[in-house]
Amino acid sequence: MIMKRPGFTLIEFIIYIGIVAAVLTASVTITWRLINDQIKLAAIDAVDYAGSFVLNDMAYQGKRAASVNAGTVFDIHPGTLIFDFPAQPDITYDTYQKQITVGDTMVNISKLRRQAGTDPPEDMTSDGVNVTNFLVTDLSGSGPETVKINLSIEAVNPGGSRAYSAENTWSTTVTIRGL
Amino acid sequence: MHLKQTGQNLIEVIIALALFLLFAAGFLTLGSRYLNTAQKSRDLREVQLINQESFEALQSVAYRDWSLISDGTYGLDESGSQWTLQGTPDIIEDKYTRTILIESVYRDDNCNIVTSGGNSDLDTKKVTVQLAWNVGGAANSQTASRHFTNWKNPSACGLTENVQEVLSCGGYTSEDLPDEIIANLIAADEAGLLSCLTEDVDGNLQLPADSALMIAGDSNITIDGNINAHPSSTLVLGVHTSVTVTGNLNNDGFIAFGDGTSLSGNLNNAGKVWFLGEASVEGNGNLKQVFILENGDVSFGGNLDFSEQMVMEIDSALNVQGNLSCAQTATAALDPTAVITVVGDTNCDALP
Repeated sequence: MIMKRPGFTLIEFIIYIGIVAAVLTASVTITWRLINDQIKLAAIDAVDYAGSFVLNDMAYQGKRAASVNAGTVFDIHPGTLIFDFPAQPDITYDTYQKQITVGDTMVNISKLRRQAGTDPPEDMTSDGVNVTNFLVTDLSGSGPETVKINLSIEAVNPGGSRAYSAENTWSTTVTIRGL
Repeated sequence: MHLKQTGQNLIEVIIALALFLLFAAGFLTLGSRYLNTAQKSRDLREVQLINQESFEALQSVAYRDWSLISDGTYGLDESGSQWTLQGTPDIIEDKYTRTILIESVYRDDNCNIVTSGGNSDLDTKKVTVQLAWNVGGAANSQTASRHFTNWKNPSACGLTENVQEVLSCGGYTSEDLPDEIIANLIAADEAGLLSCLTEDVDGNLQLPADSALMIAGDSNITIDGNINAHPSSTLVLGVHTSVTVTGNLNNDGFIAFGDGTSLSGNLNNAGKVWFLGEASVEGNGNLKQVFILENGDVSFGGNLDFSEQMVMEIDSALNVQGNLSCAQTATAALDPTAVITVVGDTNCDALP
């Protein structure tokens, strides 16, 4: 059997290899970018969910509260916010430190918690996020009791990876109805 | 067997590459849109929190002083240890421009909100928070509206029967009188010190602290003595009322003269005096703050002196048969259409 196989010339071969390399590089880059974006969005979602959950809860409780307790710690981080209620235990919001393990790394994070009366406190943020600012400001002035809450949360990211990095800052205000 | 295998040529490879790039571009566009949508979703979550904060801040302002929730366009400011309305929109996080729009709300005779006609409800305001921001050069905005009510201290649809009766006795509706007067009528009613005078008084008339007295409209009332009113009291002369005071009217609280009212004797007041329409004072006026509202036409048979402030609204007029004077520190805010006529001398730096 006689086979006549002209094949590629050297130039064609080099171009072919170059094209294949470019295609592979692009494929890997696109895939990697999509994976990173997915991770990043998950981190952003975790941070945003934590912030919304905390602030919405404070706003809800604040509207029902009779007053802001004198034990509230204003103007410093970490602050403490305490709402008094006429017919139920006070609700206290504050932060505490917790050590967690991410891979082989030990990380100290700050978590927000809520405590009703003398009940055991409940965590309001997960181990996946770190509360970097919880500041309570008194904006009552000459009017009704009014507090502003500044909150900053970041995703736990001990390796400093860009993909896992996410942070956000919010504020809300609560005006006491005193009903 | 003779086989001839030509394999792929360069053109085929380039076509394959083009197809690949087409697919890749599609995936990248898809990914980019996904990220844009995620960013928009994130922005909207932030907008929701900012709206929540804005309404709470406005609630704080409204509880502090309902009169601050007046029609107009504002921003919010927290620099003075309390939330306040500022005259221009404010910027949040260098990204969102917040504009607060406060509008009147109108109700029909059954107190239902109507979009056309009806009467302005002093106790209800429509508040709209508009947030505007840019993403990649594209303008975005979201608005949210709420009705705020002065439910703790209503003056219109929420007025008690007593207050409505007294207003009716004077020939007024709640819209005819300044908010401060209405608020005092309500407070006096709560204290059980609100009444309407329909008969002559033989002797001095005393208005105790926190009381409010309406003098009946379309009446001729004679007080055979002085009217002595506490600084925290309120006196309202009903529409088309002629009051004869054989002594003086000494009122250091609030006093309002309805349209077509006249007062004999002198008027001494160290509080606020409103003239709502045509009114005359036979004697002298020694006043502190004077407000002549739109189309008001006020005359004093004697001298007029004010120590603190005079406001004359559009098309208002003041006629003083004697001298017109004011304190050195007094101020005057006169609409360009306001007219002052003085027969005697004028000695008041605050007046043009």
